[in-house]
Amino acid sequence: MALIELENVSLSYPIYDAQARSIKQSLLSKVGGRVTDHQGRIDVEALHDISLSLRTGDRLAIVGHNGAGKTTLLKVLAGIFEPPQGRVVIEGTMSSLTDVTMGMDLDATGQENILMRCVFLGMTYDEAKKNLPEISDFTELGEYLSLPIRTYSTGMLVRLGFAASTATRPEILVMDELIGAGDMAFAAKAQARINDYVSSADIMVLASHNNGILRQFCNKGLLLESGRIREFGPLEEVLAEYERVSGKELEALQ
Amino acid sequence: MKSGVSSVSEPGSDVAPEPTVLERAINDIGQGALQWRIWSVLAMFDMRARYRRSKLGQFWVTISMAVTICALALVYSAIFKVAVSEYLPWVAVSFIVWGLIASLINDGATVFIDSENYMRSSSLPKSMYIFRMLARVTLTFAHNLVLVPIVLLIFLIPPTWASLLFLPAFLLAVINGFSIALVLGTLCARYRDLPPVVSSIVQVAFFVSPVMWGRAQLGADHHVLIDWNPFAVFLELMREPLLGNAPEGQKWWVALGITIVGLLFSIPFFARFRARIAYYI
Repeated sequence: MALIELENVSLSYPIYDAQARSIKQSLLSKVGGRVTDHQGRIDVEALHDISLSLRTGDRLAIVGHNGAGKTTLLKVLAGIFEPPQGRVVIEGTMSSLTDVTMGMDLDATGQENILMRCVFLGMTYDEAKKNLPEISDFTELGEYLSLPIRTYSTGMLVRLGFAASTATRPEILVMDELIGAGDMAFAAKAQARINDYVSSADIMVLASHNNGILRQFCNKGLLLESGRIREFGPLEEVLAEYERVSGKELEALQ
Repeated sequence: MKSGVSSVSEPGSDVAPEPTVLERAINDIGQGALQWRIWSVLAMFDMRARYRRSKLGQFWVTISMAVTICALALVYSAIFKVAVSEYLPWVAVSFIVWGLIASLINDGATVFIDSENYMRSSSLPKSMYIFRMLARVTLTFAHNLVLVPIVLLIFLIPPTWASLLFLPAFLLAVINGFSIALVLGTLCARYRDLPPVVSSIVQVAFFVSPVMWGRAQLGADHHVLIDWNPFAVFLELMREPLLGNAPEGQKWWVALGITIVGLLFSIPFFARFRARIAYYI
């Protein structure tokens, strides 16, 4: 049984620009006696007092404008960010997919990259080897799999990353935009695989700007506005509210 | 390093002093160690990746080390007016051990920066990346260590029971490498100017530590460079057993003291800033 529990989570996101990162800057700002916010660091409150609980069967869609805190919330739900305020409980094996080609070694062969990814996603080396033929077949890359992936086209890289990343079956799945893959012929195959991948997860959280995709995969919705929960409930109600809010803003603009 | 520590501390307003941060850090370290399947495979691939397109692969590590040692031995035995047969085995072991110390510090400093790709999208324990680094450094060191028995055989230096003392000395060095990575890895993720600073310090440490020269080459006035130099302590503790000698007993206590103080400082430090590393990278 997987579960996610957030209780009064607030998170300020420190922005470290190139200048604020250097010691010189920290020293100079002290020497000069100039008081800036937290030594040249700007804090942006990305999430404010978020409480939410997800159980097996929940398929949560996160919607909101750019900068509403969607990605930050996803990172909290995926356990990447540990918020300084509030309580977070996450139980279950987790996979958070943002970039399917994340961390690939360009000089390693396709096969090596598949093995590395599978191990990183929690398989043993032997399990990864056992899964290798199935993943290899799926990519349809054939002979290319024994070449370094620097020789691949972008489309081929995505195929490889997609096939390897969807080889495990995590209990909790957190995605920023639905991962997809490749050309038209491959897209149909990828669609079937992603359906299977998503439906085998106990809990799924997906942020997307595409309401069609959200309707296809999700049953609950959460509307974020400036880091606060504006609406949390059945998907259709949340989407309706989101459309209403967006519509109002459009009107105001016109 | 002290100034770096104080300038990184941030006002307590945004990080409430929760009593559990230390427990979480210790949990992170325990969980990280348990992920040995991942870090051992990653370390193996790291090692391969460096010598990807070459025929001899990772054995270039061994070969380039052998060439360096021969060159060093020829030049410095002439400068110091010592017989090559006496100097070469000594400098060979010395240089190989220094290689371990230097890469523990340098790679420890960049441990989180090097793994940022993974860290940005994975909730795996942060310490896992440190274990990955330690495994990679150990693996590289093992490739160099192959040269030691060869050198000893050529110069007919027999191993003794004291040689076994290398193992605890190595273990102490790796534990300190872990502490260094906890502190420097975190600081370097926050302040990107630090990695070059660290590598220059390591470079200077190489010259002021008895790697290429020994007590004999140093005037009596300068023994402080050996007696009060933490690098020298670990260097000697690993070098002497490999040459078949037992290190001075007192050095063990110094090394043990450094290790304990290091852990007592590094773990709370890591605990304090661990959650922030995700924002730094």
